[in-house]
Amino acid sequence: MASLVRRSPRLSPQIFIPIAHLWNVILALVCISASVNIWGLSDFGNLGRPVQVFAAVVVLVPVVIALYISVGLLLHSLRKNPSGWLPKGHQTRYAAMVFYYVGMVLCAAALVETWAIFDGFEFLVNGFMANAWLGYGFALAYVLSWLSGRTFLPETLKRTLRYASLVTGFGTLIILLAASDFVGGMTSILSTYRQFNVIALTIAILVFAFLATQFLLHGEHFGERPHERTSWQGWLLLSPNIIGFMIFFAGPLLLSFYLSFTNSTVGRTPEFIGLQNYIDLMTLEFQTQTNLADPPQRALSFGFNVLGTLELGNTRYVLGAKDPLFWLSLRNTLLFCLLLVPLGVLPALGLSVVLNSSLPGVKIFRAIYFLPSVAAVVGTALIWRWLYDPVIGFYNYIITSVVNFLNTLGLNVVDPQIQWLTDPNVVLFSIVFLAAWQILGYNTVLFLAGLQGIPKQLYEAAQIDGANRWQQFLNVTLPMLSPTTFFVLITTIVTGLQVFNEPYGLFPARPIPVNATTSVFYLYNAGFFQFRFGYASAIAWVLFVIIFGITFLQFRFNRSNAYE
Amino acid sequence: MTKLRFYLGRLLAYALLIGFAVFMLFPFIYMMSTSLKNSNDVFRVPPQLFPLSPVQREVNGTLKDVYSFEIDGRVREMVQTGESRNFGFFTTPDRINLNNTRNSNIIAQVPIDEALKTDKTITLTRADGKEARFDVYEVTLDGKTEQLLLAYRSGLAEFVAIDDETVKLYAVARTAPKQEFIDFQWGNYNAVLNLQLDRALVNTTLVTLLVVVGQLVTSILGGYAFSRVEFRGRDTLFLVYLGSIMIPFVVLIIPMYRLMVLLEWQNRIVSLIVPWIFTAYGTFLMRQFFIAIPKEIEEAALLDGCSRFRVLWGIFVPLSTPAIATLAIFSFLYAWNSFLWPLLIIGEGNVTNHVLTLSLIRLSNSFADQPNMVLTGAAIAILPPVIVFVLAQKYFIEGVASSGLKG
Amino acid sequence: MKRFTIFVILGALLVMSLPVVVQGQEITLRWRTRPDNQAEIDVYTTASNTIDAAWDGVKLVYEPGGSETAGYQDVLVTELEAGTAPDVFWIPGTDVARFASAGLILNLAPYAAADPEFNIDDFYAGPMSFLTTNPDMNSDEEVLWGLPRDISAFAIYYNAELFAEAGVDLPGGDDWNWDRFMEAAMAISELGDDVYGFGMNAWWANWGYFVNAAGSSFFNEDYTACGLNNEATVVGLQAAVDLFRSGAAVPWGTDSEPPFLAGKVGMFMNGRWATPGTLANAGFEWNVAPLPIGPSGKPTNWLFWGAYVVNAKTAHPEEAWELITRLTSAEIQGAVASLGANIPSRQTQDAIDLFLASLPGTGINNSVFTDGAAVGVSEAPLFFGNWPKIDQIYGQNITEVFNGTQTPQEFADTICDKVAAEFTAGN
Repeated sequence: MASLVRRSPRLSPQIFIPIAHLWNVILALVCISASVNIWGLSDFGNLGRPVQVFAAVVVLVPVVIALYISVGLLLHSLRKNPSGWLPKGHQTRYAAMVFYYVGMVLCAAALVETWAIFDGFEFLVNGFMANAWLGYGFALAYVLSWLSGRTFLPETLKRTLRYASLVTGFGTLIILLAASDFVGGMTSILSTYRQFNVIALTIAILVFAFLATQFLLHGEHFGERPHERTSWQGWLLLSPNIIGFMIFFAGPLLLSFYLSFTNSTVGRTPEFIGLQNYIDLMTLEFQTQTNLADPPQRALSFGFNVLGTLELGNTRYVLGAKDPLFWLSLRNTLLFCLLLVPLGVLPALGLSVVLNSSLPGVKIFRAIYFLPSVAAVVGTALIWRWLYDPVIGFYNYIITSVVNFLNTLGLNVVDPQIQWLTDPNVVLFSIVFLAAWQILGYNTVLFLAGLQGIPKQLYEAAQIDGANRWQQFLNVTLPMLSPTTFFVLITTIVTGLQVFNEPYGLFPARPIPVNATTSVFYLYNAGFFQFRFGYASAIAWVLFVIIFGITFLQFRFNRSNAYE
Repeated sequence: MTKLRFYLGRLLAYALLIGFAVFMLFPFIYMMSTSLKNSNDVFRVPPQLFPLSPVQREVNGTLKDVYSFEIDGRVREMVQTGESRNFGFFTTPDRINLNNTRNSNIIAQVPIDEALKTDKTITLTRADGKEARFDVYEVTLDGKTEQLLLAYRSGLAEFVAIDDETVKLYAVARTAPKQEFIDFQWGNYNAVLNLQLDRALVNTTLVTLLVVVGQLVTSILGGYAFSRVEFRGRDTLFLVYLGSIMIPFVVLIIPMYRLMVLLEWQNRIVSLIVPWIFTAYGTFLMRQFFIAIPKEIEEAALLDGCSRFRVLWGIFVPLSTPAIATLAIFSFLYAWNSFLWPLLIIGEGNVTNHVLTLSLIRLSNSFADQPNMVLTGAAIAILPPVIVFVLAQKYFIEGVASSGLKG
Repeated sequence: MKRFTIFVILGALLVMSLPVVVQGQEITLRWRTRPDNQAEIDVYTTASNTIDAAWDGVKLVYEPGGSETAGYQDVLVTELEAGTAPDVFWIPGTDVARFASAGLILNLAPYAAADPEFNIDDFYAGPMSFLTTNPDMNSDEEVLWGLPRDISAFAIYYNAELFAEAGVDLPGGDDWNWDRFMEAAMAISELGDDVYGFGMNAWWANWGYFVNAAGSSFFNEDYTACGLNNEATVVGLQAAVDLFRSGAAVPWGTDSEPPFLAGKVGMFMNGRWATPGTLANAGFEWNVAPLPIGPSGKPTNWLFWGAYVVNAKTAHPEEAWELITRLTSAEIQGAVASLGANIPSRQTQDAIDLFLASLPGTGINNSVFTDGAAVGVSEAPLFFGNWPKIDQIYGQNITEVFNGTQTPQEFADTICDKVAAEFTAGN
């Protein structure tokens, strides 16, 4: 692309600057009318008046930038060197480059959208499904081309092979294009040029591209200094990331923040309700009750539900919450993490130490342990759902067999007959076991890498000092491994805090047991079962604060360890 | 002595390693074996690992399951006749088990219509104080008539030997020793693929492919800019970028969903691809790798008049194969296994746009009574990443290991 | 060369994704039901194809939704909001009120009035009275929210081999009451550690049967308040809890279907929808029997129903109404019923006869279901309360009762307080 720019013709500033002025005026008019239009819409995707006003204002931003550029260009052509906030020459140029580039990208996106290519991935799948057999053609072409690169073959054969590979590849391609109706696709694209907006967008793209290039090429005209010459390249390289970041990250983040202060729900325009969501979510009530015969519910105000009770002597202390399920889900999530850490980390540490002792076959074991981490959680959860089945499942069968064996030895053990997926006291453990199984191999590999990074000399020195294996582990391995351990702990906890797929796949019935409802699951329920988008956003932000706190800890720790 | 200790240590280590290996692999083995079972075979107590089918033999024109009983020291193949007969199980008061009469010590098993009911009953007291009443029957045992308690009665099925119709016996059909053989139902895979899982497989492949390619492109470009191109505001921007890694996806669930509704992208495969090709983590990963490449190589090339893109494509990309492989693997696993986002954005009814994880949930609902089909679906979803893992094991492990070291 | 090839392949992919827009001349109508298993999906696919073939100018697309456990209705609400919901869909009777009050479904009364062939009396009166309730008490506008797809009722699916082995009489007959029921369950569960006498799943209708059979009820008579705060609730629940506590029943919450199909459960309480699956999977001799008569002395059952309703945002309301009438025609209902999954919602004799003749050669006692439906309490949509929320609160507390953290007495004493806020009567 850079070479393309280099080869572009440079026009004299006398020609392209008037064009830029004209284009700015057109843009300003279009944007102002769009803004007025948005302002007057009766319905704006059910997002509420504030978002609508915000959008109307955002559409006016290009007008301001266009004005800024035009003023800058005028001042520059008048050879005025403005002071203060007025645009200087190079600032004008930068603004114009960015502005026209972004304009071009947005228009291109709009054009692609009009052509419905974004919607067209389904057609791509159709093509794949219908023409899957053509894959053999490409594979054959690849094999031929691979063979032609082998040195042991005679030169003439290689040439024939190369030729054959080209013919096969392009032949398949042509068949593919014909089969997927390339001509039809192109015709349908061309036929859209009867529409006004397609023509307008295409012209806009061309003008934007033209202007952006011209401003780029006329650096010296605007007083560009040599060390600034590469700056635009950095921004250009980053531009896909930045655009994606703005649309799919920063924008939604702001929207989420806004929604958490509204009562946004299905089919209703959200109203701003201040902190009400957070209040409903977090409010607790504490009451005492002296008449123990009364149900605890009676002690609480209207709208509160019992979260927990404690009886001491003749008094019952009742803790109520406006939304007890939120607190319960938070408790479940934290408990989940608390259990996952020992189950998912300690065995991993032990296994990695054993694996590190240079046994033959280590690689095979390492691969086997890692295997669960590559499988989709939904899939493994479904497997475990049936393994956990209390009647036909293997886990209870194994437990029963062990119990029977112990009983034949004369011990008197009762078969627990665990109801893995329904007993409220067990369900959380069922999720933890699955999650620990899934994360164990991953953590083992991390630990193993950490262990292999410990210098051998340290162990030799410890041996000379007379330390035995265990002392070596305590005094050399653990301290040297602490950065890895810390990383493993943090990633395990952060994964644990966001657990969702495991409970979703594991429990067949809806709603899933209360004790298995994790925070993200609760958020999902609030957002997509009850459609309280505002409330769910508030839950998300509370969760975010918790997760961010933990991640921040890791970041700080890593910083202090300075890997760079 | 030390040698012995060495070998004992090894033995212990291997026992531990193998034990864990079995634990890690067992769910997969179970998945494969169940996916090869037929529907009747899954509901079995105790569970069976091997897919079994009953041995069937044609008897009088109909196919019947074959049982093998040992009669007078000879194992005979028998089939059910379809007839059954009520039997009484008789014993004496001292031999009876009052908690569960079926565990009593039975001394006679006689068809109930061949025993003579008397007017007498005997009442016994259980350990918990409850009373149990038993009828007394006259039963002929070895030519002698005795008065015995009826402990319980049971309907028994009639079995007849295949080779000799005169050899008959009565037994509980449920626990009768059925002959079975290992029989893999490979047809399950075809059946499940035909339930639009083939479509889901292609959808998933395509989504994964495009997400991986997209992430690689944006990450390589971004990583290069952050590591090698000097420009104003770069470090601030990088910090913002780094900060965004810390923001969990949960915060974005609701607004991203609303955004997709606004763009009319919900229910579309595009919503599974385009939002996910921008990755701060990947950019960061590539930047960390590029920063370690010596500056001199690049400077020489730039002086020769190479463009930035040429340098990036011709020098940096070939040099960073391990980092690219790592990123590709991470994004592959992420895209292939993603579930929450597709669940939110692709409607349940829109089966044609389902990815495998969604299809799996659909299967698990409509085949709630046929786990063999569900686990066949699970195998279809799980095996591709497993195969890729086996082929590219080195990159997986190194990638994960380096993520731990670099943070 | 390599780079070139990659670009060519990527280009080819892009080209393949170019949409070739083919505008169909036909109207496409999407419709959806909630199937409980693959057998039912096949039934409705066939029904859809049959109607499609006989109807010019309209193309039908049937999409099976998720099963009852997968939040079928909630998924629908999301899609209704997003504008991607099908034109016609089935919802359970209990959800009609929620959808109607929220304005998510179309009032079909004008279309019904304009349809000369439509006669409201062809359908069972119970569901129809709910389907013509206006949630706005102050309005006297005539409403019709949909037409019932079918009805269903519970039965005891029993494993005849286990009954024979336990030496107990098969369920049914005039004295088929709780004493005989409990006795049979106990006797069968004694056959082995892994054998259970009884099994049921954990959703509302199951424990609801025990409550109803004892003479209590979920709601008061005009469905405006909770009706569980009485002694009958305690009696019914106590019996159920004792049965479960004794170990004679598949533990509460566990799906009873796998053990039943494995031949380890003597009696399994389930609806007609389980019949095709049981036919396909059960490797033992089985049949259905009525639900036992409880302390109230009267036969008890549920009349489950669900209705086809029309998306309020549909682009083709006339065609959608036409589709609903076609889907509920005696012909299609008969075809669906003859495949065994459900009972026609038309109370006309021809429809009932078709049902009784369904699944010939299997010996299944079909009349158990029609008899059950005849005495069943209609599954009620709550026009003046939030049923999903109430169901959730009932369910949580019932789980505590079965797990022993609450006694049936405590349940009956407190449950109505707990759900009071969810009733909106008088507002």
